[in-house]
Amino acid sequence: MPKKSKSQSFEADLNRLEEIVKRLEDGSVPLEESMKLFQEGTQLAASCGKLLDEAEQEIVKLTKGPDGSLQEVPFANEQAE
Amino acid sequence: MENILTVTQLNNLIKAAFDNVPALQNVCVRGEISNYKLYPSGHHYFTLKDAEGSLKCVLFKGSALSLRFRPQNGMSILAVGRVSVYPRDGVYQLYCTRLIPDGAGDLQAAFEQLKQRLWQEGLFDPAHKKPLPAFPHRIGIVTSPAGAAVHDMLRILGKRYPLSKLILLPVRVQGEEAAGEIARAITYANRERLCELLIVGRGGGSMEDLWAFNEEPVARAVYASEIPVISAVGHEPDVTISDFVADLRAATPSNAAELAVPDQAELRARLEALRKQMAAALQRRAQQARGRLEALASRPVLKDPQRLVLDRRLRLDRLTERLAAVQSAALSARRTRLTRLAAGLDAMSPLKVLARGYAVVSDESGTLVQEAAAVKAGQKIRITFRDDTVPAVIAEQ
Repeated sequence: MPKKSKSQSFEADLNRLEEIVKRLEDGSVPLEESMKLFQEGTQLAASCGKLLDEAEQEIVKLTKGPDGSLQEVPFANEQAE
Repeated sequence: MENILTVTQLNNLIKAAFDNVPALQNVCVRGEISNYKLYPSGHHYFTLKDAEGSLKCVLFKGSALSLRFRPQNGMSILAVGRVSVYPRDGVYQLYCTRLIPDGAGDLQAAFEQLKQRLWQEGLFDPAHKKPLPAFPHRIGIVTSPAGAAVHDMLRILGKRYPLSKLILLPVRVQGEEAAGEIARAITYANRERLCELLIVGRGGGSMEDLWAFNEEPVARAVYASEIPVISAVGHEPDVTISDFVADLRAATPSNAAELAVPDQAELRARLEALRKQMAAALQRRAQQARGRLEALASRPVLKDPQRLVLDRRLRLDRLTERLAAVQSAALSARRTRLTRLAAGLDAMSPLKVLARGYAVVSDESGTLVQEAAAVKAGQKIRITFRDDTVPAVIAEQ
């Protein structure tokens, strides 16, 4: 399995966070577990925010290599503001 | 005649019959405009004629907004729309969605023909359209690497959701080779499972410039793509075949970038909202627990734990008391009995008898002599008085 991309981590964390909120709002979770969930949720929210803050977009262009196969090469969006 | 219909019933029957013919739902008719009338309602009414026949047509206000020319009597046009019945007048007519000047050239006619053919084949079927992923981790962009369109897309994608990886599949977007390159790029992306979302498009231009996106190979590649495709060709009014086939049509490439990814500003707001919801839920949970705790604490046992001990002690004391009482009662009963017995015993004591003036006779061995026949004359006996015992002899028998 390849390492999870940042976008995959973000989506997974956000989904988990939403699940946690749902469980906490359900009210049937024991208090001690609620505290643990809250702690986990707080960490997830922080790590999601951090992923966005520190994101550096990867942009590649597919280019034909010498052997004719397509390769990814970095692409600079030079006209970007 | 058994089956007598009203006029309305018959007209509705005929209308239903027309509406059930698929070939009538999307037609393109060439003809000459006559009796053209624009009503104050904004609807356009006219008749299309050729050498032998005529056809009533209506173009409603909404569709008329996209007209790029003024229809006039005598003008040769292509009218696109569906044929249905207007029951009130008992006439069938063409409900136009588009009018194209016939002079517009073969491209427009080819466009309409291909569109009609692919539509009938089901390539535009909404049921075939795939939902877009909420978080496309990798986005393939099939476009020219040189145009302004790609830079707009990259800029907007980056601003909205910088977490996804953007993979540019450079292709020519106009000219003879364009359609084949675009179609191959889409097929390649699918074969390599390159990404979760494809954006296929280019910036604005003339109909000729955009033509590659009206070609069948592109339409078929888009239709066959298992990766959801956003079609992003030209400016808002430009509509291409690939727009119809794609899972989502974007008005412009920039619009495609907006539709493709979530906006991080919204994501941050959502995170914040979740955080607040979570805190509120925990607070509610804690309050609920506190409520239970208080309810428990207000119970006597926990409210005043001493009392429980005191209660038990009291009970213990009471039991001890009772035990003592029972014991002493039993004791005194025994004591009374003992006294009584002792008294009885005392009364029967031989000493008491002697004290009353009796004497006891025993033989020399100390055995009591209880009858006169037990002694003979001359026998020595002992007589015990109250104060002492003295020897004696039986005088005669």
